[in-house]
Amino acid sequence: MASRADFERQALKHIDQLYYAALRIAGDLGDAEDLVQETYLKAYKAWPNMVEIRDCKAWLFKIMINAWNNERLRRSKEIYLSEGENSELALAESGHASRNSNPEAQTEIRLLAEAAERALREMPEELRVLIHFADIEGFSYKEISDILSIPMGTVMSRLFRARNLLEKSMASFYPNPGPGSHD
Amino acid sequence: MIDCADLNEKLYLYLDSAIGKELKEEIESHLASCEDCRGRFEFLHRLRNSMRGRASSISAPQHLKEEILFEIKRRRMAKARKFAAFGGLGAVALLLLSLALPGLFKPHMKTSLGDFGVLYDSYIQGALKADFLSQDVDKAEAWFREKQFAVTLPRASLAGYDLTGVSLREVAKRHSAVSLYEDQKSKEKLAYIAFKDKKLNINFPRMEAVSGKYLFVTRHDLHSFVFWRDGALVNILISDDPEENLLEYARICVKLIDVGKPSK
Repeated sequence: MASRADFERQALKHIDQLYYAALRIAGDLGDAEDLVQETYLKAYKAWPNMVEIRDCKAWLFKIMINAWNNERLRRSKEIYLSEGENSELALAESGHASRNSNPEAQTEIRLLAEAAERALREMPEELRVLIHFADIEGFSYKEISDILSIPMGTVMSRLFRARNLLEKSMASFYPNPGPGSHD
Repeated sequence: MIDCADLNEKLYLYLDSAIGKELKEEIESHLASCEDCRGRFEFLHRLRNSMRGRASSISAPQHLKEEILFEIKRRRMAKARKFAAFGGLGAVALLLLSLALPGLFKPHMKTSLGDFGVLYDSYIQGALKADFLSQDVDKAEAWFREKQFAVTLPRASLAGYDLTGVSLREVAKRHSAVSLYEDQKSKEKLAYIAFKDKKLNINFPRMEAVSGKYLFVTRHDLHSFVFWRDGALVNILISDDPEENLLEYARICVKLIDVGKPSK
């Protein structure tokens, strides 16, 4: 396990993913930064006692979700992404849009990803987060179940629902004969 | 064989690699023969890649990284200062208990480090230079002096002590309790220690793992740690408590040394 020097090496390397997820969850740049910072400080505090960091990234996400749930509880209201809040997410993303040097691929990725982003905004948070964890972060059902503290069956059923919603809202991108043909 | 309707249900499982080999082969066979389903699969694959590509373009702001690193460093330094100022016999006695024991600081034991980890980190750096991962207490003492930890090191450890038979009541007066535990399977006698002092705010520990000769005990929030081997206390560590708690904790540990008797 894990010395304190390991923390900087093993935990901080996930900061970009945590930040992106925090933007999606919190919606606000300031809240996202606070959430990431709080996540890391909590993680740092617990770090010396970690017997084995089998999956550091999932562990960090779990801390973040708990921290956000606590914050939400404190604010005593549900916070969903609003249009304005998401413009901050778009702002965060736009600063890095030029990284891909292949213009054609960049365009395709951007159009698809932007459409997906719009579709995700329309989803309830509980579904949006699942898409993020499964499709963007690549967590397994079991890992998502652990992170969100919900049963694996719930993860699977919600994820199925979320992806169907996403897929249908992406119909204009869909190749012939369209996503509804198999329904 | 699966058809298009079946695939509609299972394609996401396939995308997630959450299916068995047999079903995977069936799906791949269907995809190979069905243009519509293959188109859908490829689209979903592209969609996922596009979302991941977008994600990979996001970086946390540099100032956020710097703030986190700064805060971590600040906390680490604050603890280091606390220990440098602390410097009491008790704490280092506690540390030395572990230090003087064979094999205790093998990598797998680092899990027990809490606040002492600050000192420990320094210790390890020094240890590598001074080569006192052996039980050479003189070298250890010299190293501590060099690092200006103004301490007197006890030249004893609990390795040769067996606390079996120590009066629970007697120890309880010292705000802690040592109990024996018999492994139901192996019938091997193990022990655990509980700290009851309210000032320490330590709850009865729960048992983390018992395997043969070893018994690990931690507090529910993992802040304190006790490690027994072969019925003898070989390590106690604690973390994240205020300095006064650490001092008190160290005193308790020193008292435990006092009450511990050689087994022979």
